[in-house]
Amino acid sequence: MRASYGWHLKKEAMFGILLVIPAFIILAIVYLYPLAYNIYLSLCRWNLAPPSPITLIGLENYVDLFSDATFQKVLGNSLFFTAISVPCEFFLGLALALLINKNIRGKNVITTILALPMMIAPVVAALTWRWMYAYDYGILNFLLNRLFGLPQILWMSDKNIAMYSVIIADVWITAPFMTLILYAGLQMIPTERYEAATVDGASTWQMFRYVTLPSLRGVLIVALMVRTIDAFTKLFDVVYVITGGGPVYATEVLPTYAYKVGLAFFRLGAGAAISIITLLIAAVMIVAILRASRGR
Amino acid sequence: MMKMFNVKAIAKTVWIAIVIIVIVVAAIGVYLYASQPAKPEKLIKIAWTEGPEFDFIAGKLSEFEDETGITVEFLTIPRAHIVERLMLEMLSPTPSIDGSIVYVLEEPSLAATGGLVNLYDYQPKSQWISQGFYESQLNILEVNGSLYYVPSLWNGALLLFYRTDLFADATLKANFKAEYGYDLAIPATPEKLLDAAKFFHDKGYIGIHLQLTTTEMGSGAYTIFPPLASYYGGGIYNATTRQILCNSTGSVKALNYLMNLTKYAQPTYLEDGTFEAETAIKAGTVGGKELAMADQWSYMYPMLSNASLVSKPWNISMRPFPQGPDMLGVAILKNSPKKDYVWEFVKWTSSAEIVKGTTLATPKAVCRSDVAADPEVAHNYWVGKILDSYGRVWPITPVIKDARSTEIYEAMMLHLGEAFTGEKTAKKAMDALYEDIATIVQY
Repeated sequence: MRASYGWHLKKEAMFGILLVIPAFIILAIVYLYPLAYNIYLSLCRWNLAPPSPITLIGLENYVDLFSDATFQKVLGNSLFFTAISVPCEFFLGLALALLINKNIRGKNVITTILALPMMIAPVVAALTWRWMYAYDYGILNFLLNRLFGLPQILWMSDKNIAMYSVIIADVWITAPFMTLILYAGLQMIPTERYEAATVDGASTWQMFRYVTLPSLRGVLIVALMVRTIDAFTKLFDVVYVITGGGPVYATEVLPTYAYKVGLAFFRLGAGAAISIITLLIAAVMIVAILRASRGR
Repeated sequence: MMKMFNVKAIAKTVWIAIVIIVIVVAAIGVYLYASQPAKPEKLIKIAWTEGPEFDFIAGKLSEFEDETGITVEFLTIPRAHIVERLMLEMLSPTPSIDGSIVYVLEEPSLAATGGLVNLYDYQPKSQWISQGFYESQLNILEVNGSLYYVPSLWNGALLLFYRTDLFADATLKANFKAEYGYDLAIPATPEKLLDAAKFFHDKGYIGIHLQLTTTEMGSGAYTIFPPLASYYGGGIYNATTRQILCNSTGSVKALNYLMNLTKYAQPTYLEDGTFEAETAIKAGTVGGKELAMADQWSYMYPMLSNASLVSKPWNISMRPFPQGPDMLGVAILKNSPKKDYVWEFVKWTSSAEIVKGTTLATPKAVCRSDVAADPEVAHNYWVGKILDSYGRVWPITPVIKDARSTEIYEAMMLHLGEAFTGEKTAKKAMDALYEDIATIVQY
């Protein structure tokens, strides 16, 4: 009897393994191998110009990077961008989700308009922002100057402003993602909870604080994690198109810098090290978000 | 739960499905490959880009193909990204391209990989010169005695664009004479350019439109600072002597000069490139102010006579200080099995007929003296102005012929930006660049 039960368990495990193997093979080919190779490269010196053989140098690339003032600045930029843009996207997304969750007229039209930035390729959206930011012929300076009599702003070439210009464009592009995810979360909250809160005499704020937010918790965490990963590790198009990382590296972020070091300077080992550092910091951020969410 | 499934059967089905999918995909691949029409035996693939001169060559291509039996396929790639594509091709044992356009700034890095064919192996330097190629331009492109392409496709020159109405205005002329002690004329030296820019600025104009973006390789600050540094007796880095020159007296003087000039330029000089210069010249204004002069590429000259495009009267003059090279040509990839066919294509694109055609397609510096002397070319007003700006009055400032030149230029752009934004003085910015170059050349 026991032997038969054990055999069944084994068969069940085997069955599971057999089903997972194809997916694992694909994952190993397209994800694990490149990741492992990238880690290996980050521990090597491999320059293409002038060409050098792949030489294992341990953590030298990492040590060089952390002692490099430019990398420190770029790392700071990435952290700053994530710290500002993700909360902005979150609060804007939440506000818009709450708005379209109400039974207002033209709700479908508003939802469609809100989703528009998501349907535009980021590079196209960035190019549009670049035009809007143009000093002489951009619509933003036109509005500031001609309509409000304010001085024109150097949106892209003032080192104190350029990063905010990038953040505004990115928030415009990505806030709809936040909105749609949170809207889906709001739609799933049972109306009975609000009815019960109303019976208990809860105010609108109390309903938001004690019903809406706790019910959205799971969705919020997922949305925050996705956007944090994206903002920290995948910000490329917007920076590349709007400012090219300038002026004076004021908007250079880790992904654009990794690209520059690896594919413009042809120092593939150092480029790989930048991507691994980016990956590790993003992982730490995710753990922090998860821990913070569990703590509550 | 397990009784519901026959584990063995399901597992077997999954694996059979995988095998079938693999076989079907492979069969489709084989079918598609086999059903493709046979490729011409003499087919070469060239990484290419866009522009009037490239269109001219594409329009003439059938003549080359009929004459040689070689079929040319162009793979159009944005110019800014050719180097990345090319580097990967050169690493590949089975490259998908046989030749590529190469830009002068990227040439040292590409040459260092050993992946390009030395054109002197096909034709010695003396023969290129006897054909009419300017030796000074070949020297600019030579890396360690090898030549990887000739500047037959693009050879861009920067010119001084100036407002004819302002320079002819009697009141302005009188005021200038009273303030500076000499006649207002089209500036021919950096010092006179500074005077003219300041004068117009003080009179309420934008003195000069400068392209000083520090984020685009091959344009912006790159096109102004190294030639100015060279003019003042400095430089950036001499790869032959391994001497770092960027914080020399001449280079610091050049940067101080440039920082002075920016005081009279448009406020957006740090983000502006060719497109913005074109827009400004067309409008004749920047930020609502009249524009007096602009540092702009030669291609724009034909637009000046088109009243529907350009609203103010402009003309061109020699750039009042030297310039660096802006050269594009076709290089042959060493790992291509069709090198000789690409060589035929290189010969054709650098022939007098094609160089003449591409030169007339859009104003640029001529790379052959016989083409410059051709009556159809020589009668154009811009030919002399361009050649004066491009080596005839001052030698063309050479690029840094080091494998790490891209990174050195990037560092230069960064530190120039620090000086322009007031983060550092000219001296401190150049000292910081010195440190960076010292580190980069050690990699």
